[in-house]
Amino acid sequence: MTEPGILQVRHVFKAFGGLQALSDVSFSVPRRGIVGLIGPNGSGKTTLFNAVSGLFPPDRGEIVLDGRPIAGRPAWTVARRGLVRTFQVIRVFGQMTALENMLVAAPGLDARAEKERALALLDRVGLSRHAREYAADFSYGMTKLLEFARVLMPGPSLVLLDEPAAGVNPRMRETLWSIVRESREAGTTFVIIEHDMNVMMTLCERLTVLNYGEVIAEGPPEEVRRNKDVVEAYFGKTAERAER
Amino acid sequence: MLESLPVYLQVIVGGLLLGALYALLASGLNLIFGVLRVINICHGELMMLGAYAAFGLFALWNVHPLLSIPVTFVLLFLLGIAIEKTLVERVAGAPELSSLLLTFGIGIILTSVAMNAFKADFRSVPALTGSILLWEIALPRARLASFATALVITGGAYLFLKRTRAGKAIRAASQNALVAETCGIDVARVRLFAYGLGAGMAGAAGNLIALSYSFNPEVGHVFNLKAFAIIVLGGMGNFAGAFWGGLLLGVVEGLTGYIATAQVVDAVAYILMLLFLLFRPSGLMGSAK
Amino acid sequence: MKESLLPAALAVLAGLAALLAYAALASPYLIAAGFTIVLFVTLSASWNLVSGYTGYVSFGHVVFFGIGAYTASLLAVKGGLGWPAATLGAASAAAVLALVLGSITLRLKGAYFAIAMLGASEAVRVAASTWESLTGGGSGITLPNLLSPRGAFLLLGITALGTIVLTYAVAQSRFGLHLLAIREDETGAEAMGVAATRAKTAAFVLSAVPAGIAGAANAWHINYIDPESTFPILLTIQMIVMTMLGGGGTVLGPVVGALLLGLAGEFLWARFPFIHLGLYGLLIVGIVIFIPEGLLPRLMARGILPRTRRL
Repeated sequence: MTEPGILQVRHVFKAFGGLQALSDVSFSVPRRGIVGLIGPNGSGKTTLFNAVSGLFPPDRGEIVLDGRPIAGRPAWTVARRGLVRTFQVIRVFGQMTALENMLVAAPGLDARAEKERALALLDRVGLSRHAREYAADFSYGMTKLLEFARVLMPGPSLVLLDEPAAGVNPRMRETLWSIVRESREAGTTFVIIEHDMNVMMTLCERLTVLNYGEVIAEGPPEEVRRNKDVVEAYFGKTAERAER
Repeated sequence: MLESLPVYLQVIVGGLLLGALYALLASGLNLIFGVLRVINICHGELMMLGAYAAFGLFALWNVHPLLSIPVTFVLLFLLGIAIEKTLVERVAGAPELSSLLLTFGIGIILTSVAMNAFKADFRSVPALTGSILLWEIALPRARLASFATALVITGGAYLFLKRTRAGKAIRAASQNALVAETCGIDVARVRLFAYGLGAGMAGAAGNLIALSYSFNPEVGHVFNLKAFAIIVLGGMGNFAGAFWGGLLLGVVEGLTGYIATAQVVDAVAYILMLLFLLFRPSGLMGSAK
Repeated sequence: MKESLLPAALAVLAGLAALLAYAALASPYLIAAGFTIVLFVTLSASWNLVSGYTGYVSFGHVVFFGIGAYTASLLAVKGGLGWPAATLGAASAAAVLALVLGSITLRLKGAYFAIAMLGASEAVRVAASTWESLTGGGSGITLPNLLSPRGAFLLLGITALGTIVLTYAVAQSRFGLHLLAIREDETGAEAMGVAATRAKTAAFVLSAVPAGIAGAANAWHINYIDPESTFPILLTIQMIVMTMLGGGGTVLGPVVGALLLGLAGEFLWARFPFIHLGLYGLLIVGIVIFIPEGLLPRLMARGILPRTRRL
């Protein structure tokens, strides 16, 4: 690890009322990597995404993107520094066409180049025929794909994907993961929340495991899979006892 | 300074007497906002109809305005049900622009109907006259009776919301309609009932206004704006908050009228409202969230 | 892109020619009627520019009309300025007020913003009637005749045309897309890098300018202003209803709505003086229930008009 990671999260805390959603969370994302964020429901994965992407500030701790602190900065400045995300609950702009959705996230080139880039990305996710239709008329799977294409539109350096494949048909899912791999080759870094462990094992170089708002394991997928704490978090103590 | 103390006391008591009417009106408005997420811009007009109902009952059959309150309440409750069922329900879940415009439209229809039926003349129902002198403070009987009745109705509605099954359903729907629905509460029916209840309370407030103030078909407008201010002061959707907000506005208006001029009084509601929206949007009672 | 600007440029030239011809040829009665129409077009296009595109319901937009009227009148009567400078002053005052009000109230969302604006417009109205030494209070200000009715019509007609052109430009731009994205989902837009607060405030200021000029032109037209006729809540409602009828968030929606309701007002309301307010209420209710999205978007959805941000 000679080169510092593109993203460092250091000792981040966040509480909602009495609930400690994130507790002393630290992890680092290597440049041009694909990192998986896993953990049971309610373990703080989406909260961590929200804090990192600037939806709300952490109570304590540092978040550093490309060497610059971003904790507490508004979401739009974080996005303009190259960190963009998708949402678990889809957030496309319904009364705007697919193409317009793409252009909102445009990086600020000239209009023609932006349009070409948007259409190429829509084509890549199989939506080019629907470029001029309103997103409100799309099926759930199509909106997921649109959101995925849109997140790549600004040419981000770091992308956070919150369950991008949920509700997408299996064939399109494969395309989606291969786009992730290609974009990584082109220099983009990904952090992915995804429940399908088979996908995470093959796609990610590193996994970070959260439970009750704490990082309980971190490392290459094979190592994490053998980690006792992780097995316990996922299957519970009873399952472990039953094994004995 | 000592001499002026009774004067200030008189002004404050006067503000409280009017404030209770504000509180009754605004509680109903907040009840509707809490459950339907609709700012009922025809609330003052419903109140105005309540005033004319009391006026009509008094003029035709000499019904005392304190006795006509159940009748006005039921009449406006039914009108509220009809309005919710036929119109307001159709914009449930639509952007707030729809409900703002819709209820404004209903308001000017009601004003126009009243204008044609009763003309623009100011009316009053002089059923209760004279004052009681308590220490140095003069308490007009009519206002005192309005005050007490408004407290009783608001308190009754509060107990209804707190204690009864239907009241709990309303509060649940007001907290989170989706969760209430999944708990087996028919939220559409709760909306209907809440709107009816809010309208009935507005009607009762109108009845009490008729007892101690003069009114005409356009009076609803001014009360609308005050009621908006009050629900902001008390916290939007917060039933009890509207009560304290109403009393607060009554007192602050009274003091302003005494210290400055009558014209400035109208601005008090808006200025208080803006200050609260900026510095304490959750209102007097709200938790700072 | 270049060839597609031609139809729009021709339409603007045609509009300008029509305004000039109307101003030169119409009878005084028609000038007065035409003034009402261009007033409605300007005001609803102004409201649409912020509320139609961002979804923030400016429920007190008349405050910009009012501040324009008062600024122009005071600059003319107390400052001795001519109508051009006083009109510019009105536009600037509206812009400054929008900047101040917007940076405060645009932090509020939904219904909170709507009633904050209503409160702001009423507060300014009360200020205008209370500050008698400056504004003459309730008795208002009488103006010298600085601009003929034809001149006032032309001034406001060109303002209307300019507001439409401005809307057209915004609708085609990245800025316009950002405003629409805020309307659809502000949090999502910010996560995509849209500087929402900045964009909203800019749209608010842009929309206040034509409303301020309209206030000035109206003062030149009737040579008299007072708080009641300068800050009527009903005027805000009219801006909203006209925009909603034609279709908010479109370039021509407010124009269509203003023409329809303006003409309806001329021919219909005059015949039913006692129930016209009630009829207006029925109309509002009908629009909200039956065509909440507006005429233009409905025609677009049916395929009768092309679905484009240019209309």
